[in-house]
Amino acid sequence: MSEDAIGSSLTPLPPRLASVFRALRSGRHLSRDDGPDFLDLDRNFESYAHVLHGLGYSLRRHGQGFFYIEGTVGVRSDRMRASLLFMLILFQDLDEKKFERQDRAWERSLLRTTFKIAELPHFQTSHRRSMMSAVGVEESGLSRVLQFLERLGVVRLLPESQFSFKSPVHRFVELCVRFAEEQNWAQSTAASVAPSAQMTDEPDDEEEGEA
Amino acid sequence: MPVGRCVAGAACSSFWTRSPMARHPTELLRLLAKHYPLVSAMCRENRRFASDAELESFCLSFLESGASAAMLVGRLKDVGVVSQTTGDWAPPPFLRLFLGEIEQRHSLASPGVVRGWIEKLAGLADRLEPLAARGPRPGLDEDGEILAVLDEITDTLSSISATVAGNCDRIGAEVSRYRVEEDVRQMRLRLTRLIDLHANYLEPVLRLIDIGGDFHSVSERTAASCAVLAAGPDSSVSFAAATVARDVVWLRRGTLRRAHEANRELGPLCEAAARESSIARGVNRALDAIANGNWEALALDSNLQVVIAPDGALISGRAAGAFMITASAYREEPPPLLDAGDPSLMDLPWSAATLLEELESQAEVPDLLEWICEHVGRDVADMPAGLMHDLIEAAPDSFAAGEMHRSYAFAELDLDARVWAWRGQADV
Repeated sequence: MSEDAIGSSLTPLPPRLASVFRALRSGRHLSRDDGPDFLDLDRNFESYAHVLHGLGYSLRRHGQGFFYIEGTVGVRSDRMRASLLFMLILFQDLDEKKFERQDRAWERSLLRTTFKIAELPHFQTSHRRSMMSAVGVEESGLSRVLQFLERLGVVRLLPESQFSFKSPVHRFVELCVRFAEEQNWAQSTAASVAPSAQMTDEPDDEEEGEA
Repeated sequence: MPVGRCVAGAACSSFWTRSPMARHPTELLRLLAKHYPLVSAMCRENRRFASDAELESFCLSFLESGASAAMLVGRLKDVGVVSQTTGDWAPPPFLRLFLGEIEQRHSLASPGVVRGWIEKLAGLADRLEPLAARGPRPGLDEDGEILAVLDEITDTLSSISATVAGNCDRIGAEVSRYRVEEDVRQMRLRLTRLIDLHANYLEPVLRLIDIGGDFHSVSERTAASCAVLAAGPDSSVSFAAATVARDVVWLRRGTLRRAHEANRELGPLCEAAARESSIARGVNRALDAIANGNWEALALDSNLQVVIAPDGALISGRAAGAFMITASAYREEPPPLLDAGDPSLMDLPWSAATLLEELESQAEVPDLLEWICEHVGRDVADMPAGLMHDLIEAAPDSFAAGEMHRSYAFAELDLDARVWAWRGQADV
């Protein structure tokens, strides 16, 4: 095969491959807010999917307009658990207080809502405080959870100790829907009740390395 | 009226048996008649009042100026229009249900009722089709029959349209009440009712009357028969048939439009409520599992995979990594220049083949290792010993081990070994 023939059979690599690859491998969910990286990924989805598949990752395009990868080296660190718990408590509070809102709903306006860190519900009751404490998050450490979520592309940190959500927050929302739709939830939870000591997990050194 | 029976009939007789009886039934009915809008609003909105002041404030908007709200509140309490059961003053359950039945607040025509009307229309279409196929015969009784069927079709169509439109109006009113409601408890109740209306009334009715539904097909059949009759010679039948044909299309379109409007109003509300209800259920399940330390139930490693891999080499293995580093350091350079002088001869390492060639020129070598050491030197023992081994391997028949041992001195050690001898081909 001539060199020209070889050259023509190869798919040209997307222009922002290095930047997009680095972002995706650091756990980032790329959404419209990520500008050129998102646009390049959107335009060259097939090429990216092909390249990433060769490296053992699956590139996912979410219905809410963002991208992320899945692979065998997924993280299941305490920090991930803390992030999930943070989201669950916030969603629960939003649902409880939705009738106080003008639109009487919270999910559709989730991306337009600005949250003040000082007003978050996570440390307002002893039950929630103890749950947060169980995943190693005290009130002063809440900002670390938010910084982690910002690195994942889920949260946008704003001035004056505020934040808002970006479209990848819908991964957490849909996880809740999946839990709700789980037919055998009662059996599965009963079967797999484990002591809280099992909450200890592999260290998240790899994440620290990214910081 | 027998004691324990509701004036609304048997449907609500059970309420009397469960709820506290009014203390003065006659007075109660008289007060209801006099202040019906007030009591009706109180029951419809399921109001609760934490204090007399709150109750008086509510009553004030229904009273003419100058009337005493405090006195009315006293009367309401006396006759049992409001009772105090859980700390708040509220209309007793029997009264709420009684007025609800009277006002038929919860009696939106069910999809079953609408289906009943459509089945009646289908029966009329069955009757009309053969009459239309035969055509009108002036002077005969059949004209009267056709006109009667057409009249009944018009009535039935109007009933379907009025039923759907009326119920859609009620749904619209419910949505409006929900939107202006400020009390959280009331909001929840109203939202529950809206979801029920959407799921159990509006959606099934829409399926019935939408294109492809029963209503659409039966009205098409009716319109076709009417078109045949209207195409006949001018007569009372043809005029009536033309009118019904227009009515069928017009009423069907109007009914469908009204139902779709109600659905556009109610649908998003209910979809959002249903989805958020689902999310909340999932949130509570997950929080419950976490509170029990049961993270495994959440299966995060499959449900919420987030890849975080440190930046670094993608190739594992030090050798491959070192090669990649060397390769990446490569730069295009011209070949090195040779020295101006003649290159010196390079010492060739000894090999067994070279030594064997030399041995073959000799008739006998009594001490092979000594002979090898004389050629390659005594700096290290490894090389002479290795060469000796290779030579014996290469020509085993030409070497023989003697009985005698001796010590061979090298730079760093003395080697004690048996003496081997070489016998050339000439001796064989």
